[in-house]
Amino acid sequence: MSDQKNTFSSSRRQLLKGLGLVSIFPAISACAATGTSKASAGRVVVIGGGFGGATAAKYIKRGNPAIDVTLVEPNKTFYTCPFSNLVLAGERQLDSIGHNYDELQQVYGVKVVHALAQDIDPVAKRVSLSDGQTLQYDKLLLSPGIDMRWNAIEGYDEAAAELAPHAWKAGPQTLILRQQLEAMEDGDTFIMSVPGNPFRCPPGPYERASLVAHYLKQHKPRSKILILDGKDNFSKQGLFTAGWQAHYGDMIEWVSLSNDGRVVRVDAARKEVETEFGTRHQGAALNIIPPQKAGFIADRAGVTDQSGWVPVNPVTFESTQVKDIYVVGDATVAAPMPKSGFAANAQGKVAASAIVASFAGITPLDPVWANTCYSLINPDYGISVADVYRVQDNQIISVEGAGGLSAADASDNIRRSEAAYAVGWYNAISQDTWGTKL
Amino acid sequence: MRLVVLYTFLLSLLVMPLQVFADWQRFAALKEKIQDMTPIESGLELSLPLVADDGSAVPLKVVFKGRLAEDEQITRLWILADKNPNPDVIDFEISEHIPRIELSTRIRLGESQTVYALAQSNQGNLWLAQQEVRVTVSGCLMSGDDTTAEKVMSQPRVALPRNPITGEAAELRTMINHPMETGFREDDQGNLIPQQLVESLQVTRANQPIFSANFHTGTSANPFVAFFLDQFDDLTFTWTDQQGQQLSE
Repeated sequence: MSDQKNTFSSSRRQLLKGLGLVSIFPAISACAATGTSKASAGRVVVIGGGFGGATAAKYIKRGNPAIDVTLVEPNKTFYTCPFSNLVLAGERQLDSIGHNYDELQQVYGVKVVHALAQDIDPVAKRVSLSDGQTLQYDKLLLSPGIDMRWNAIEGYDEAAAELAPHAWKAGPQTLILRQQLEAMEDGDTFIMSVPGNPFRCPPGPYERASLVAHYLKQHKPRSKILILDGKDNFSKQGLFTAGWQAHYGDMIEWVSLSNDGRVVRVDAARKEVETEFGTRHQGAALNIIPPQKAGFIADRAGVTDQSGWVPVNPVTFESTQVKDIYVVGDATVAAPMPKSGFAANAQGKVAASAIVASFAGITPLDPVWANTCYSLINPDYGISVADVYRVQDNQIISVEGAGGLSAADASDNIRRSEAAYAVGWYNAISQDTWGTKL
Repeated sequence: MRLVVLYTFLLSLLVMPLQVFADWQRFAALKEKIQDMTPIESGLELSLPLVADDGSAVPLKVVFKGRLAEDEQITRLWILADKNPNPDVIDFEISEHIPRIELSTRIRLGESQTVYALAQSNQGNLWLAQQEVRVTVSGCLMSGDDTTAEKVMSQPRVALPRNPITGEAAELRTMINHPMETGFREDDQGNLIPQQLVESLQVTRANQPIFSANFHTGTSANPFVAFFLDQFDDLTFTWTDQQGQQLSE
């Protein structure tokens, strides 16, 4: 990413490389090359500066620098959920998973406003912000992430999350949970409650259990981890279970839905939970990952459906309910694509190309996406699942025979390589999304 | 909002004629139950996720809010799925001791399809509800088919409301562990695994049947049923499998 000159030819080459199969740009670049870039080619407001939003903002500018792009994100530093489990385990500092918006502003010419988007008027095409500003748009792109469904589990609300953190948005929540882990005595129990599908990052809870076990094994080896699950099976289950056995013996206990694993009530002050059939569990540290829905601004825009998530046109990621609003990332109904940072980044590029194409009056091609979920059993033991997706009959499908899962009988060397690939993946996608730290 | 309204209107023009013809009338298993009756298409509410990431345990809830005549009550309720190999999912026999028709369970959907709920009253009136569900196996998710699970019933569970008060309707939950082998699956050698199902759950109060659920191949493994009662003493829950084995709680 050294082409900070941002000339037409190099940016186009980069763009085609970056978008892989989504190369629809010749017509637009011709128009950018005529040097009319002083006049705005259109106004785009992007809400949310995570994997989906930051990527989209950057790639719209790369597709056509004459488009005005304003990114609205309340935080000056964005902390990623990927690798936040390493922070929990004490293997990384929070700073190392923080990213800012300097490169987007200084290199790509994205305007960044640090405020909260509070409301959207889809008729007047206006966004109102917490600082009193209103922004006018021609196209709006939402990457709102998730909100917790407070009180979906009895007793679990925002106040309870200060005592029993979800840590499912990285940042202060990650640190609260880290402090609870540090305060545990040897022999104490760490309890984690996991929701039913769909939720952000399907393998995330099990990687978290692994890395918490890695920490406890070194510092509090008699402690236990109890996972109470709202499901009967989970992502990469065989690989996780085998990895747990090999590294942590019986430290991690997983209780499935059909063994009364679903948590229905939380007493955050007592660090106690109650399951569907009345079993109570108490721990020294309590991590409640509650059921989720699209971030609230999606509701304000009128793009969510009865499920609480956002249905989109899979070719463009434009809302099926409101014209000129595009939505990417965890907030969308994009299954079988998972709710992952990788998927949000890929969807951000697809929506960016659709928006650029729409301003240029051309039809976007059908996209193809890839997604890889790496998980760490410990910092030197990685596993992964990869998939390729495309659109068929106006629905996203997983391409059969593409992608795959780490082998069950892989050697330690391969596991170590996969752990290194995970780090490589993290660095690459962070650079692609937010850029190098200026 | 004008544009949106216009879109919705145009969309409804497209969708309406389809709905009239493509509905339940083409679904033999449902037609058989409805025959020449005209079901009421409001009052019965069916809720399922629009997209299910895992077709092996899709949460389903059905609530009756329709209008009943004096002395009329809902006595039967069926759940059917038109593209499952066997459309029968689960059905319920409901007595007047059930204060509110609000039932929850977990079902199996082999593919994307429409799920139907049909309720019948003691006066023969019918209510119909339907919902389309798209089934995907989400990326990063694996289905965990376990062919080695023991095919006998174990761990019957009943959760009464935390502070049950006589006369106040409250939900209770039941579940029993059993793989609910459909008979449609093959083992590693390609042989059909024989069907083994829990057939029913019977709930009695002082030996009087007040509620029962009949399970079929469309019921999830570890059949789960939640329903409402307003008296909680002297209850017996009996699960019966296809071999006639019974477990009570």
